[in-house]
Amino acid sequence: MAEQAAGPTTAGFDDLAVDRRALDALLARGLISTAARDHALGLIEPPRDWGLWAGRLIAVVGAALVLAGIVYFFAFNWAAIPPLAKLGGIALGIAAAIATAAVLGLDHAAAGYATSAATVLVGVFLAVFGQIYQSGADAWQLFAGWAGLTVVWALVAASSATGAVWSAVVAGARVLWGPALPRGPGAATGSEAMLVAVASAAFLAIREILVGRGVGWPAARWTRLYLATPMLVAAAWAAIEAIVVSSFSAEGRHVPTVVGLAIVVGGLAVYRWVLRDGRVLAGAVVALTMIVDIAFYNLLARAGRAFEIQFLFLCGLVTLALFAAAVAWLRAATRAMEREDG
Amino acid sequence: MAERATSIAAGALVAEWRTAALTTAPEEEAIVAFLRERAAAGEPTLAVKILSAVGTTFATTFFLAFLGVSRLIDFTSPGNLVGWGIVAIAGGIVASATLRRMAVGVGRELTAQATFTAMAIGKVLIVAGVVTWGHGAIQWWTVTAALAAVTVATYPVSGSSLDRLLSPYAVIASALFDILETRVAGAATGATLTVFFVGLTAIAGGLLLPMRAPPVLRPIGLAALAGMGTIVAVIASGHDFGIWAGGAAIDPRGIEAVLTAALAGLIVWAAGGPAAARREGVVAAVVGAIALGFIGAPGIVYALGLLVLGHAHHDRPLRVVGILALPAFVVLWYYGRDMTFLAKSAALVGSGLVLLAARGFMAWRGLDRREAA
Repeated sequence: MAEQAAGPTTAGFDDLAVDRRALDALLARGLISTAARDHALGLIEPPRDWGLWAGRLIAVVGAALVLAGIVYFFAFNWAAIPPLAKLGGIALGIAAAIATAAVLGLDHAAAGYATSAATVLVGVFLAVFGQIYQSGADAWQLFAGWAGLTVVWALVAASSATGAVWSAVVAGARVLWGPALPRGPGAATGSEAMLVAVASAAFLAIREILVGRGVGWPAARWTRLYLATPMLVAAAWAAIEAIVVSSFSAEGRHVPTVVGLAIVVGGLAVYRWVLRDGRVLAGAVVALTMIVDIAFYNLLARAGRAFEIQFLFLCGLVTLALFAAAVAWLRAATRAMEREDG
Repeated sequence: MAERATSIAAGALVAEWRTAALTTAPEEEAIVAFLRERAAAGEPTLAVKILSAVGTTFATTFFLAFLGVSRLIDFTSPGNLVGWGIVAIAGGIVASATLRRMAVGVGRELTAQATFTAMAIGKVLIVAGVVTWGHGAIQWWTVTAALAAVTVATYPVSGSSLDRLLSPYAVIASALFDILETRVAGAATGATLTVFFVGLTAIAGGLLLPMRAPPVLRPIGLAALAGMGTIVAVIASGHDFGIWAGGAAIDPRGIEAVLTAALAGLIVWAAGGPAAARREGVVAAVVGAIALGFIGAPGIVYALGLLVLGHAHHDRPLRVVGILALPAFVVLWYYGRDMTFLAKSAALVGSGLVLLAARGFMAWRGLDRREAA
């Protein structure tokens, strides 16, 4: 980067963040040339490397489409395939995927995709087995068995892709387990979403601890969003569902509300002041603002005033103020984090 | 953890441009003034836009419920609805005019939020008024015209780029509904849809490809792009779905041809324009795009187009949408009813083999190891 030379810039200007959209705006105003824009984009993001990018893209997409086509082919001929051939074919796929990972070595980039494929195929095998022999097992048991059978691969593979697949299987087991529980007076509304939120928060915490200790394989940024997104969505869902149901029934459902709120507030605090991630922080602010707004309406509803004229108007005003404050805070926090990160 | 940068410090950037002789001193002054003005205005991030949109939706719902319960507005009277809608939009326009003079802070955000809400309430009331026109006999094209009118009236003063995206998209979606679900096109539903698709392609290309296109019009280009995706999803779901008012199957070949031509043109544009069209890598990519078009899987062509456009523009959200569009198309296609799994399987394997062949060609010619465009 060139040294700052004398020019029209002054204090306060030098630290302003210029992103792609600002460059587009400068170009559209005719203040910079296309060459200047391209030069700046090259500094913000790596050069486009079209050949390298296109090569990777079409290899991945091409392979995925061929695999999808094979799945469709099996779907077309499914009824005509003998049970042994169905199970044998899937088992062969598992063996091939594991062999690929073993031959390439777990450090190879493709090994992660191979172990991911093997993990998926174990679930396919269990589903087909249950379809052929009518085992009578619940869906959550299939997912739980799937997660149990592949947990060793998920740990040994040390691959973010395999870890993502495995955590999705665990999430599936948790989601399906809730409705399978005996329903009774103690079955709390929002508790299924709460289970997903708690487990996602646990996985996210493990991910952050591992990355903090220098473990490389879960460090890709998408893994954080992959876990934080369901955590925040499920936490907000659990809290809002419990609040809304409480509005129209005598029974209060406080546990999912408290747990959901705690996860959202905890996420907000951690990603604002400890790990400083603007995207997760923004998600937490959106979730928290929605919960608080709906909770305010719930207070009126519980007082039997949900549809009174003046309270509907008041809710509108409170909503405007609440979201305006949230937007102002998020903007200020984002600017502060940019300053803190230099 | 290594994070990819998405911005650069303004001072360092100006120095870089100066060192590379890409700007002159007078230009730098204008650049500094513009960036200062932009920073003072506070360009919102995507997350802020989403938060603001959620708040607008909630507040609009509460205020509309208030208007309904209080009987301040007669919801059975079209004139009453349209009149109050115009009043709300006028209020929003007046509020937005004050925004530019306000300092950054909660007060400014509150005014902005009130502006968005007033505009949204106005739009809902006007469209509701048009829908109830004629004692409930819905005039489809009138709804589209009403949406277009409120979009044109509010677009220049709308402070929300999300609103600028969603309003034109609502017009496009309404027009698409008219084409498919009314008998306005008669037996020519397929041809009308193709012409509509050509129009959307022209709008998207005209507003998203030229570097000097005004950024304020970019949301319209994105709305047109989203409209193209909606039509691709419709034809991927099934050409003879049986739910279209025309009753006839929609021939997708015209739309697929336009889409393929658009992808080929996009590749040439990304490579640097017509002058680059003779380069080996570009020719191979165009041939591959045409081969994909012949196979008849429009969702794949559309998704690849999004990825190329997103990569060329350094636009991550567009790239993410492109990546998500691929599996979404494959899943959508699974439930499409007018092709056998065998035909779908052949199209998918064929598309995959074309791409893998292209990958092999790139490796053979060494195009995957250097800057090819």
